[in-house]
Amino acid sequence: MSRVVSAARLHVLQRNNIVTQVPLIFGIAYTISVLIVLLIHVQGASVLVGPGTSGATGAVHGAVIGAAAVSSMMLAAYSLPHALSLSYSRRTFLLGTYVVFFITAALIGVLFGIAAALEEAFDGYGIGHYSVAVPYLTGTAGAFEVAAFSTALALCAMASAFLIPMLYRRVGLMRLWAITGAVLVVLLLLVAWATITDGWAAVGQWLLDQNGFTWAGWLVAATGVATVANWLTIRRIPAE
Amino acid sequence: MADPGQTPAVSVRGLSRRYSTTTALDDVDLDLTSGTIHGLLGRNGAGKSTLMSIITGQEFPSSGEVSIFGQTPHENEEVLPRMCFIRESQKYQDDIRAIHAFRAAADAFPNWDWDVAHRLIEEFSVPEKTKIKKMSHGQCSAVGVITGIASRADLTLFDEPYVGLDPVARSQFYRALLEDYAEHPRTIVISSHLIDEIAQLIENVVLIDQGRVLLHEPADDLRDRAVTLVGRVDAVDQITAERQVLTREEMGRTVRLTAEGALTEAERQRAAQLEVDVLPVGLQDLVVHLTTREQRTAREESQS
Repeated sequence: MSRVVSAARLHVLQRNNIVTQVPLIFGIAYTISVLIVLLIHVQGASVLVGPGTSGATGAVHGAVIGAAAVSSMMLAAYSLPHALSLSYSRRTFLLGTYVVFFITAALIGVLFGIAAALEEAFDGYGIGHYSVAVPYLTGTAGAFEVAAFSTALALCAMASAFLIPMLYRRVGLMRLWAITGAVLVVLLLLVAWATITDGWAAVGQWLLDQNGFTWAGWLVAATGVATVANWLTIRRIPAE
Repeated sequence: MADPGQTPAVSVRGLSRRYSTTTALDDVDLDLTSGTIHGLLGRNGAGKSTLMSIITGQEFPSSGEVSIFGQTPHENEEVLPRMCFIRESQKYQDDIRAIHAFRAAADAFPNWDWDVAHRLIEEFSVPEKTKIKKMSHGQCSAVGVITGIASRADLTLFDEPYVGLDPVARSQFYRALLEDYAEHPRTIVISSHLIDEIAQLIENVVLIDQGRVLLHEPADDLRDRAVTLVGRVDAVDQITAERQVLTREEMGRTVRLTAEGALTEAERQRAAQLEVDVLPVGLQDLVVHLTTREQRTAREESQS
C-alpha cells in the first residue's frame, strides 16, 4: 500500500472521523433548516415566495464549513505526533491529509449539489425552502455550480484551518498571536483603503459579478496558498 | 531485515542540538553497529531522548550530520519506514482504541507481524477495544512495546518503554524482545533508567551525560571498567593507591571503595592476603559512579 494512502488511512481509523462527521453535520444542519422554514410555512407566513428568499441562505454552508474547519484543526493537532511516531515523513503526512481533505470536500460538494438539485426540482419542497439553491450560486449551472462552490469552500476551509495548530506547534502561542494580529492589521488596512478611495461600490459590484464557479476558482487559489503555507510550516515541526 | 554487515546502522558526526538556553547534545560522534542491542543510558536531561528523536528524523539538529543505514533520515521515505521509535509517553490520535493504533502501525511498518502482535496483546492483556486515553499508564506502555516489537523495524528505538509496567510485564517485555531479536536480528536501541534490569539484554552500552557521550563500549568490556573493594582502610588504600577512585565510603576502620580498572592477578592475591573483599561493579553502579564523577569534575572546574 502506498505510504500516502496509509497516512490518509490514519485519519479514518475510527468510525467518527472527518469524512463521516462533516456529512453528519450537513444532515443535521439541513434538516433543521428545512424544519425552520416548514414551521414558518405552517404558521402561514407569506414571505416565502421564491428561490433565494427563504432566509436560511448560508446557514447550512456555515455549519458544514465550520465543522470541516474544526475537524481539520483537531486532525492537525492530534495526528501529527502519531504520524511521526509511525515514521511517516512530514511530506507524506501532509499528502495523506490532503487526500482526506479532497475526499471530504468532494463529499460535501456532492451533498450540497444533491440538496440544490432537490430544492430546484421540488420548488423548495413546496414550502419555498431554498437554503442551498440560491440564485447567486445557481445562475450559471444550477446544482453543479453549487457543488463546485461547496467543494472548493470546504477544501479552502480545511486547508486554512489546518494551518493554525501547525503554526502553534511551530512558533508557539505568542508568535501565533503576533501572526494573527498582523493578518488582522493587513485586513483593516485593506478596509481602510477601500473606504478612503470610495472603493466599496466597486467591491460590491465585483462581488455581484462573481458566481459559483468564479468563487470556486478563487477558493482553489486560496487553498493553494494555504497549502504552501502548510508545507513551509510543517516541514520542520518537531514531533513533541 | 537488518543489515548484518559492518555498515553502522546509525552514524552521527558532530551532532549538536541547542535550545534557547540549553545544550541538549554537544558535538556528539557515535556509531551504532547493525544487528546489536544498544543500551542508551544516562540521567534525566542527559540528551538521550533528543538523540533518538534526531536519529529518527522527528527532531532537527542545530549542527552535525546523521546517517541511518547510510542515508539521511529527515524526510527520507526510503529509510523512515525501516525505523520505529517508541517514546515514553507516546501520543496517539484522540479517541482511538488500541486496535486502531496497531492497525495504523501495520499500515506504516512494512515488516509488521500480526502473529507477534496478537500474541503480545494477549500476554500483556491489552484491552484492544478500550480508548487509549482511558488506559492506565502501564497499558499505554504495553501498546508501545507491542508496536515496537511487532514492527520488526530494522532500527527500533525504545525510550523508557516500561513506564507504568509492573515487574511481571517488564519481564515479559524483555523476554519477548530477546526472543524476537534472536529470531529476527535487527538493531535495537533502548534507553532506560532501570539499568540493572536491562543489563542482561544489551550488548553495547552508550552512556550520555550533559549532551556528550561519556562511554561507548561493548557491555562485556564494562565488567573490567571498575571494581569495588571492601576492607580495612589501610589495606584497601594499599591496593588502590595508583588508581582513580570513583567512590569512597568509610565506616570506622572499614572502607568501601570503587576504583577504575580491573585488578591484576597479583593485586587479587594481595587483596586476599589483606582480607579485602573484591566485588564486581554492576552496570547501574558504574553508570552512577561515572556520571557523578563527571558532575564533580565539572563543579570543581567551575569553582577553580
